Amino acid sequence: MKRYWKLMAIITVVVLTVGTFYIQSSLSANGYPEILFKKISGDKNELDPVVLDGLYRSECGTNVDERVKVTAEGTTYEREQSFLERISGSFFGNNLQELKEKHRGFMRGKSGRASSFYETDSTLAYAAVNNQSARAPKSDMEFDVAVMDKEKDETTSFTVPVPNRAMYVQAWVEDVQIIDGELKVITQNYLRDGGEEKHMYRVDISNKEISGEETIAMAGNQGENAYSRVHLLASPDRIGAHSYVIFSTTKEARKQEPDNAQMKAKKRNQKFIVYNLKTGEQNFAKAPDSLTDKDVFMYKQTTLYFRDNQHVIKYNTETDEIIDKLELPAQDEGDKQKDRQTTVEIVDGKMYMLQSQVESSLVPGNAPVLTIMDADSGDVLYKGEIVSEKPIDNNASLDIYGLLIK
Amino acid sequence: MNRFVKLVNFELSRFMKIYLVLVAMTVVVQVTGVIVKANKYMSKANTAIYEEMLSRTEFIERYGQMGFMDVTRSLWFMGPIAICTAALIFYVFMIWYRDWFGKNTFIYRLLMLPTARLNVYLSKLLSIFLMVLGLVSVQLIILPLENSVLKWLVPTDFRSDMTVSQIINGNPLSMLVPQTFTEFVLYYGAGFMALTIVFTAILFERSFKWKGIIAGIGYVAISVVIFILPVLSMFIVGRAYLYPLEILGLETAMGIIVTVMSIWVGNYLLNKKITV
Repeated sequence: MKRYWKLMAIITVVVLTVGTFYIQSSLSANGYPEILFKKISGDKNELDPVVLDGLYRSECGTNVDERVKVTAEGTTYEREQSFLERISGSFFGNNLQELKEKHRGFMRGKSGRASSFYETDSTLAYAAVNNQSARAPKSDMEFDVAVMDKEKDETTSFTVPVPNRAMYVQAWVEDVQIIDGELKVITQNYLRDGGEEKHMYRVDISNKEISGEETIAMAGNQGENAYSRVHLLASPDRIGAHSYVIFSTTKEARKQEPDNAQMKAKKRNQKFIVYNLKTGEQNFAKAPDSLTDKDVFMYKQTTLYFRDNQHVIKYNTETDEIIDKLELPAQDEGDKQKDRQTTVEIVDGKMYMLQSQVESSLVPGNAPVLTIMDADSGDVLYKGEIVSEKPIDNNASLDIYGLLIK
Repeated sequence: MNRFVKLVNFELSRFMKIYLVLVAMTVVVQVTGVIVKANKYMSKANTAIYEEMLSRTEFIERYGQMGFMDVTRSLWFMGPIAICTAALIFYVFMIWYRDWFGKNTFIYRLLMLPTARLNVYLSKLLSIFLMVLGLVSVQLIILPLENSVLKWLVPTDFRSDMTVSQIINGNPLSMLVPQTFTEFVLYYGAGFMALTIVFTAILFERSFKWKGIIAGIGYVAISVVIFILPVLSMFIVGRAYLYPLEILGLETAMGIIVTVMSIWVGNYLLNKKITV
């Protein structure tokens, strides 16, 4: 053996050093602060569907940002994932990740936007627009459509050209629904002349063709001094079956005004288009003046949800009535109120709310507060602070800003 | 087996002097770099505090704390790594050509050894590979030492401490020492494959001289195309039909195929076509 000492030495050094390094770094990965839900009141089982999204910023010369996922089960940092987990991109297990796991074959090669999918107990459908290129002089845009019957496990898939595609630069699918056996696709189309359209295409699945189309709304320049916008409001069940889509339209003056004044004017002019996917009927709605200083954050069927820092208000667009007003629990008295950031999500009749001060830290007393309420009665089901198990390094910061409900 | 181990040890011995010089150079230059950088920072701090009458906190606010990053970003640190890399890349070729161009064509004796000629190929391959890993290990060993030198020269208030993992992650060094062991295996596996491709290309040249250069370049091109085929196919089709893990699996398989192919072709050339 002595004759081969060079070989032995180099192998020993390599194995020991590399081995030690990786064992050590896998052990020290646990040096991250663990984040906990500290219950103030209520039932901690309510936390099961809650996923908090945060950012960990360590300023050790490199300013590396890492995303952090917090659930009742524990805290996961991006760097704690194994290599295989990292490349399969499953860190933020959203609805699509679940679909990918359940329907591997169907999801193969499908683009990653949740708005392109539709899922019920019996059907899974997909529509997207392929071959989008803003630069190409000629447009080859086509719909890529796939519908799967879950019971029979049969998939129909085909592509069909976008009607009048020469007019458009781009088209993005914003919602997909199947109503009475017909696929309805809501898109945002960008016209070559600079305008925008909200479009609805009807796709006949059995004949594999586009059976009709309709422009729901147009937006863009309104003469020299004004322009209008239209956008689809958020909805908690974009993938599930629903029969209404609601758009917000605003007209804005192309004027140099202070931001604040512009925001107010914009909200005053805000109108809503309630589009019935079943009948194709459109209703225009305008919120009463008392709601113009509040933000719409979602809709469900024909109900709009407005909120400010103190209230969540439900407004029925069909009857033009405010149907419910929910008071948000005040977190702190005094002037801190102003600096509060609140995220609200309503899922399955429960309202999840994350409130944090701008300068919040994860120390009890000054920590972000998560409240879960019954969305109808306003009863608080759970209330708790989000705190760090051990103090966070001086050189690091951790912000919890997002709320995801599974 | 015994003869193979002997050959590897022999190949290592032939480069050992230069190799140790490379190691020593890396240690000396990097440690000097830490000392120079730390002194520079401290003398700046002294000037600011005693001549410009700044307080400690004011100084830190203005110029920031000293971190190990200030060292790794400098030529003192990256320079030796670059020199070592260049030296080893150069030796990938020299490990073959020195046997032909040295005095009394040594390759003649090597090929006449009573052992499979493949062992000559594999021993050269393994020794280059081990030398690369050896240099990486040396870097891993001296990093904590350099880190302590910095701690020793700069007072706590003026520095922000980093662990070895933190130093590596925020740095081109993470290409040499990736974050997870899986990646380490994949990176160095790919490196090993590249080595076999280059070795076989060299043997093409040694077998067919001028025509061999073209054959060698052609061989490299074919190997690269085979290796990136799974990714290439996605660009041709224009859609990501494969899931990331499937791509990884296919790439690993392709890498193994190319490696085996290179060694097999290399063996064939050594046995049948090589000219001395």
